[in-house]
Amino acid sequence: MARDSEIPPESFEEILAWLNADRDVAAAMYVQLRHDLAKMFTWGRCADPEGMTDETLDRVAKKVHGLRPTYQGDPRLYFRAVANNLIKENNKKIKSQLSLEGIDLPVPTLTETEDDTADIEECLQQCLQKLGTDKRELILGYYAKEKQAKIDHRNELAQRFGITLETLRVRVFRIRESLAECIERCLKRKRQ
Amino acid sequence: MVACGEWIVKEEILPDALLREFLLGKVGDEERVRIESLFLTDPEAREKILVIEQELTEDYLEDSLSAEDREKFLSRYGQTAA
Repeated sequence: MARDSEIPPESFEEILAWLNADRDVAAAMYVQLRHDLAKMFTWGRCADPEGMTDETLDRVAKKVHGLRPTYQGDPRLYFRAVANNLIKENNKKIKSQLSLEGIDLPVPTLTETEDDTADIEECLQQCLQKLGTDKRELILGYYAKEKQAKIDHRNELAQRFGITLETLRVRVFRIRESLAECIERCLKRKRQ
Repeated sequence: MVACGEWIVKEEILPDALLREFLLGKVGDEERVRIESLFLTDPEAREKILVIEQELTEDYLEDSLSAEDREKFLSRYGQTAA
């Protein structure tokens, strides 16, 4: 579930200049860096490696102007450190928030209003749409039934997608993680 | 193209067994940071890590991973491995 990067052009240019004085070389390094960061997020078991890569680049873009004159060493290591922090934040978030078992919505706190609940619902719908048909059908189907019917239904789903139950569980887990992140980003945007 | 001597050096810095452990999430933080840093900054190290990752994927597909490694592999690559 990649999102478009929000890096302003001047920050993007500054990142390129930071990576290498030759703009062509820098551009190639940037493309490689994007790919490598996404790989690192996959290794970090992140549900949305592309989205988290964008977030890493956005975060660096916000600081690059101040950083560049004083930073010592290979700038790619700074990107790695930011990515690493993001993985840690993500893991904390997953532990502490959203339990999407049964596609539970974030639990409204006492101070949340009906508007907040409506926002959560709207974000859930938006994020479900962004998932794409296969993933959406899979996760909605996975949680659709109760008890024995649920077990039977999951067997059917695994057959339909041509995968084992084990793989089905892994896929659903990852989709849930990705949904949770999407909903949180959506809510953050709404509350800004 | 990597010269033969360079591979020897990389083998010392990044033994295959260590990279497999790294890719399965079995190394400590310090080692992980070291390998990730090499992955981002050293083209030969990067290439070697990707080769080992490919081998690991082939081992998964041939069902030759231990049960523990298989589970770890799936938890990392489950979305794309099947």
